[in-house]
Amino acid sequence: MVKDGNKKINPVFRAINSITDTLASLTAAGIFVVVIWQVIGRLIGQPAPWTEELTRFMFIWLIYLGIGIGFRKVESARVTLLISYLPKFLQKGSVWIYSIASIGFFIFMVVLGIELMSQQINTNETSSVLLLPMWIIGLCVPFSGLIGIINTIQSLIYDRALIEEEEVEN
Amino acid sequence: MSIFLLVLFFILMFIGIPIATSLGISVVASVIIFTDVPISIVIQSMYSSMNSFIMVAVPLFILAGIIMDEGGVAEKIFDFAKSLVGWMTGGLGHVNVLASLIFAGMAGSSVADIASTGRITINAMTKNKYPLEYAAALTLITSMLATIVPPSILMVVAASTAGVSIGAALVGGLVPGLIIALIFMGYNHYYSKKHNFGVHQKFEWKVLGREFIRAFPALLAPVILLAGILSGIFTPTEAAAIAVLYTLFVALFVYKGLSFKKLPNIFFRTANLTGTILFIAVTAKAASWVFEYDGLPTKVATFISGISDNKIVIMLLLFVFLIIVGMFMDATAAIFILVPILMPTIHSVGIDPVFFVIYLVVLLSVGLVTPPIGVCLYATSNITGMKIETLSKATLPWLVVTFAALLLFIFVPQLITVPISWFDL
Repeated sequence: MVKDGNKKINPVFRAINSITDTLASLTAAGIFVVVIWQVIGRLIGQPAPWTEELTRFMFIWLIYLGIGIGFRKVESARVTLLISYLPKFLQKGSVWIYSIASIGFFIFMVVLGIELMSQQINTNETSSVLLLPMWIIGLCVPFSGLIGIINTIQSLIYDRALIEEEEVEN
Repeated sequence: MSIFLLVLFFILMFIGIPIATSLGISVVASVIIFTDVPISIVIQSMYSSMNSFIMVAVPLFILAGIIMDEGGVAEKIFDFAKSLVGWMTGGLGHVNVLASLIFAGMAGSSVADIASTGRITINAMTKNKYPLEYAAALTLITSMLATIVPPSILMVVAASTAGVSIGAALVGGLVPGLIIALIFMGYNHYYSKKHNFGVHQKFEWKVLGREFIRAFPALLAPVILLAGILSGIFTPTEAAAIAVLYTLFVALFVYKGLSFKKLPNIFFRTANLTGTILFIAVTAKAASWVFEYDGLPTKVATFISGISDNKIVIMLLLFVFLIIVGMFMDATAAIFILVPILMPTIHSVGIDPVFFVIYLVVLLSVGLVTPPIGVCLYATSNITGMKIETLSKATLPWLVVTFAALLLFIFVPQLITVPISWFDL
């Protein structure tokens, strides 16, 4: 049983992590830059209406990227204080209960997220100001589900001790 | 259907499944079992829940808090607070309250307060002969302030969910935060005097002046943020971005605790934390769809107005109810679920919705410091090595003081509503 977080991370995981982390950092930085742009634009009398829409879309992507990434180090808030009061078989299976439930919900997000995207593609839905195809925004849901699955698997391999830990994480 | 959802949610949550996932699974199960509505409604609801410009203030407040923390601001705040109130009876206890209050004005998260200023004040207090239990309990209880005073992340979430002015709710948190801080200081004075805690130090104008100058750039951050919102020049989201710009400047060029090299990591941590916090909001939004489909808001409104139509009686009922909910449910989830359910009642009884939103956040912040799910309780236990049980026991007297303070707002709501009315928000 792997109990420590020092095991060398598989290069495939490392590459995926690097891509998602860079995307997340860029999105957070992008939101800051665009909102500042909006303020400056308004103050100099040249408001940029696209900034509000772009900020909202980047915000949605930011949340969904963060959701998936948060499962790599088991950071999603949970209550484990009461696990020690549960029957023994449930205590022993707590890592699997956590993993199966998390991955199960992420699979739901992937499948239904793809359905949402296909609807957006079929109806040619575009945003009102930037005229962006809306599936680009909808893509964040299945994408988040996918990286959520990959990150939960990583936490099972490299950070199982964190899943077993008896405390509320936030 | 609503009861099924809640029962399933609590079962899943208490067997260790993440809160957000527990809510999501319960929503999916409820929709499948009790309705003919296509299951895609859950994803639709989750996807559209965060399509809001006003909520963008949340990651920006998180970003500003991380920058300030990385920039080495906590020590400056502590030194300034110490030079200002450290000479009084129970000096370092007052420093603890004041440092938390100032930090609260920069960061919107209570857990962040414990990790930064909390760590420093606990060390200083124990070195100064305060019992560890006392220092830890005070640090824990004062962490609530970050959730109450602007820029509070939960306040943005609650105001946005309730559809009231975010600026008004943010600013409205300031006075209750100050009053609660003063009450904490009063109790600290009484308790420290009674038990003769701490070694007293002298007050020196010179030291105060020096520490004020050192802390001044940091102290200006909340002023910029509030002035931006109050003047009406910026929306709360824009004011948050300006605060980020300012804190970046201070951390990079004034305190120099931050380097450009660290920026990608800071942006990454912002994304990570935003996703972690708002995942709960996203699934809670889907849960609130179920409650509305089930007609719960109307049922609750009818039930509550059947008990009494007296504002104070209803607020007292909500006081008890929300403290209990806060103990067992994550505050973000509670806001997304309860606000749509309770708003019809609030409107029908004639309670000011902005007052209610502020009061709701203040009450739910109690749940951050109580077992079994108080995240601040766990954070304090982590940094002190104290057992949850011991820490909870040491916090009890402070909770009683807090409840007294919170009841005050029910009987004198003007403490919250009047300052807001001074501004055009």
